[in-house]
Amino acid sequence: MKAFRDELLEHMPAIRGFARTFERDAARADDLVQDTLMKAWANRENYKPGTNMKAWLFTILRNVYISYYRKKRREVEDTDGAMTASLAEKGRQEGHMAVLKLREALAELPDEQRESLIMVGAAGFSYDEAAEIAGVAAGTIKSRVSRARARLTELLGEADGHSGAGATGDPALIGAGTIRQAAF
Amino acid sequence: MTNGDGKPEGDAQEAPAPAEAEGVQAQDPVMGQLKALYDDVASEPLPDDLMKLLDKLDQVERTR
Repeated sequence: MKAFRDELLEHMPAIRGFARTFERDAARADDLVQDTLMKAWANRENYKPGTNMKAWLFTILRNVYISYYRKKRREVEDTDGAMTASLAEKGRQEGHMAVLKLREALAELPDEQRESLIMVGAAGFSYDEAAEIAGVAAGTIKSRVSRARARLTELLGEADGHSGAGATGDPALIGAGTIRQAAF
Repeated sequence: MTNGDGKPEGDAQEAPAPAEAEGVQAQDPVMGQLKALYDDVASEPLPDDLMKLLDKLDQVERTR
């Protein structure tokens, strides 16, 4: 039987992959990964050897970011504009256009759609596994994934095609979302 | 719009249940991008700070 530590090391890269895809702010993503690692270690007695450690870790990661965003949301409401600007600033530093557009589009998705999409479409979980992790029915994951896919395709299509209104700053469209888009 | 070298079997529109999770990314350029974004990071070795953190956790345990 593999030592807990070795198995943990084997699956942490997947946790990083998820976190960096789910959360576009790299520093925040790294915080999520670190907290997940610490929680996993602290709770290692609860892990049953031979079961799916990757799924177990994702469940922990999920709990970490749910409580994290609950906290964060309050802060965002407090600082509003400043926060939006600094997020745009950070986003600008990472990667080329295609990646930025993808990250921007992902950020538009509701959390539960984004997580479902990444678990199934990128991290390699089956609908059943993703359902187990998220604590919902497999059918719910399926519909979240398909809605997320459709929305993502739509958003990326918009970005490629008629990029008009948002970018040129139509006054009617100015709002938090537009400000973020305009930054790119 | 190429979505990779098309797999010979499985009609794009009507691909039925079995390997649907796989199919999600195989047939769709957007999903391909998403997968690439994820794989980029997931294929990197763990950064030093995480390794150090784990070593520290491990050591705390041993000295107890």
